[in-house]
Amino acid sequence: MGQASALGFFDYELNSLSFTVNESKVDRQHLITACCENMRKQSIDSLTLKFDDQMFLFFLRNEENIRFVEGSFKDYPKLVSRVKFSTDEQEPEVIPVMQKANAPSVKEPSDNTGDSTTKEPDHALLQRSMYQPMSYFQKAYSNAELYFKPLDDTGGDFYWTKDYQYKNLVVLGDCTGHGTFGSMIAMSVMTLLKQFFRLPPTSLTNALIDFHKQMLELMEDEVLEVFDVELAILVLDKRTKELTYAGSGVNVVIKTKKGTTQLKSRKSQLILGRVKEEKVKLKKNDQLYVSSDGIFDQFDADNKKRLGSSNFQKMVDSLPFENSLDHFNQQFEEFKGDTPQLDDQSMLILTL
Amino acid sequence: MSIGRFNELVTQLKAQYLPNGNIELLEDSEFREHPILFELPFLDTITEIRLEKDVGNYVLSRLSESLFLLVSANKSQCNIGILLNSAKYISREIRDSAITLA
Repeated sequence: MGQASALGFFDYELNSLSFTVNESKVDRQHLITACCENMRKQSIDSLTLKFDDQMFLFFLRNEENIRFVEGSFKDYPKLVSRVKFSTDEQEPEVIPVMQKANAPSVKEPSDNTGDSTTKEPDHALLQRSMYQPMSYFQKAYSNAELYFKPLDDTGGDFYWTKDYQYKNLVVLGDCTGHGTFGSMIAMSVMTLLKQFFRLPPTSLTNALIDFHKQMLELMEDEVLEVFDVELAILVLDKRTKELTYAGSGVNVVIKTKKGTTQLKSRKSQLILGRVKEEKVKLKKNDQLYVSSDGIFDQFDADNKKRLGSSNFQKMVDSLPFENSLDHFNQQFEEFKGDTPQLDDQSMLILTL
Repeated sequence: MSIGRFNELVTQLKAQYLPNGNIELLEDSEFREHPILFELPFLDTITEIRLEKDVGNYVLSRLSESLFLLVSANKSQCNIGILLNSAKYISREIRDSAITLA
């Protein structure tokens, strides 16, 4: 992990710098202050200065402060990620697995040593760089929340959105396996997704079938039998609020004021060529819960009964429309108790 | 090479490398009048500035002691990685041309 020669933040209220690490040159402190003041004044979101001695300074403006880091340019991606995703070793922060406006956080340490600091492996950093912030989903939805908890440092679950002129596409995927294995598949699938859906699909059924075919062509070896993904693809017509869904194993629960309905799909339907797309007319404030099977497969506090898709739907039914993620997290934590999770878990809550 | 010749070259390079973005050549004095850059503490030791503001990404590279290249593009049309690559190619072309025509 790259070492920062300066790390800290500029507090708006105090109008001063606070350092966690400061081995920087003396005159850099004035430079940092000047940059922060200017960023604030001009509403600059992020700023990088590269110096002729191969050092850099990076600043990121938040609502409360401006975080900054200085280090060697060869460590730029790692150090910038530490600032962006608050994974600083010297200044550990408790990051919840719930995210409302950012890319997913690093998984909390799984050991019981009480040490909350964790070093993020390079492959986790690389995978995380492909995740979009929740604000991307807010181009078509009034609110977007994410529950994201890989089983290991990295996982096979992913999510992605693309906004077109009149339509919006959301994909949630669950790749074979978990950990590094799952994450490698997830990264390949995400790369393909971005190419495949450059234009909005005219037929979601055909798109889903074609996508799976292209995905299987990605690798040449027989090992491809395990190279697989379950998907939920949602296309929202922003003008009419009509939602089109097609899936290959990832379900969607639609929550309206009248109750909940679940749109289900199975991988076997795809193999048999029987993929169907479903269309649902939505209204303002209706919610979509798109979740991977890792949530359904979670066992209860007694380690006897799976949550299952029906109980998940009931849980969704009982959640309020406001702060849904907080309430879900509370209920889910109560349900599972100390029982360990078995698979990557992810869920998007999208509110129209 | 004159600034006029530079600008002609920049127009060609924009079409080639950054059709959806903007390329500007700035001299030391113009730097202080630029709407975004004017208050940045630009020291002699700084070789590059990357900046993200509203919907735009900006990359400022030092070409010579007093000449700077500023490339910018809308985030939705060009991500920062592509912009940095474009800036790199354009800087190199300008330097090469400057040497050839000197």
